[in-house]
Amino acid sequence: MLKCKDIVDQASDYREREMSFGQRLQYRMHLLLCHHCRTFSRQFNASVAMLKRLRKREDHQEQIEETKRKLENL
Amino acid sequence: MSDNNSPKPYQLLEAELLPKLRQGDKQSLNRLVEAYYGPMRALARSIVGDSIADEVVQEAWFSVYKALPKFEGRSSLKTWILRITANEAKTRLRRESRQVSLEAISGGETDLLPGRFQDDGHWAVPPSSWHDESPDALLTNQEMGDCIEWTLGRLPENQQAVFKLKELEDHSFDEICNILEISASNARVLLHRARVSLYGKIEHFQESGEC
Ligand SMILES: [Zn+2]
Repeated sequence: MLKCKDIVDQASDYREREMSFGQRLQYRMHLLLCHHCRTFSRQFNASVAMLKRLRKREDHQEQIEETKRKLENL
Repeated sequence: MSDNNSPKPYQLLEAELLPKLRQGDKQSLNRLVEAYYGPMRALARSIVGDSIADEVVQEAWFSVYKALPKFEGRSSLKTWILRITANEAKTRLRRESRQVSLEAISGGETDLLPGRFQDDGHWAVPPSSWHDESPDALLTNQEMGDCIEWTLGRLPENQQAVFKLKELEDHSFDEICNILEISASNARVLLHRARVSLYGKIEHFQESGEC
């Protein structure tokens, strides 16, 4: 029987289907029975989806130009 | 599987630039610098820190330039360039006698979400429900975005490196193993640890409005 802690430990494997059929079934079974882990699972997945869309808004144009100049002179 | 087979924009760019690059065309080299400076800097920064990341990236470009005629195309050009960047960063760390192994799972002994579970593995402090759980809603909060960036910058080097390559640069685990010279299973563990730490911070922010 999986514990809540296992649900957290294996959340990425479950998400990315890196599990056997049997393991997956056990994972789903726990989610079915455990309200807290359902909340965790939903919010973890939302967080991962959100984190993937974090894009750096950094501006490197100055360093890019400098690098190009240096390579030009090689 | 999360890795699909349709060509990514960088693969199209490489197919166009590679023949010219092999002939030493500086114009194409410039376009390569434009395209890859950002990802290289993000990777270098996760390994050596912000202050010398630009130096490391410039060194990496010199190495790339010298090695380009020998590029065999066994990986994508981007993977190859990022691997050179990672090696440049590791060399730099070694020169400053700092820790170099990206393979070690730092913090591997500590629990995920420490303090949140009872001894029997059930929740001691269960997840709180959030006002709005959609990724879109989470993204619109600028303060939380800043908080996540700050938190990401404080994760162990190898977690940052894997997280950025996988989630922000969309590399496959195969490519990540090639770039960082770590095993696929370690890469998966590192990514998961980074995600859970960041999830914990998002949860904390949702609850308290503070970072
Ligand atoms: Zn549970």
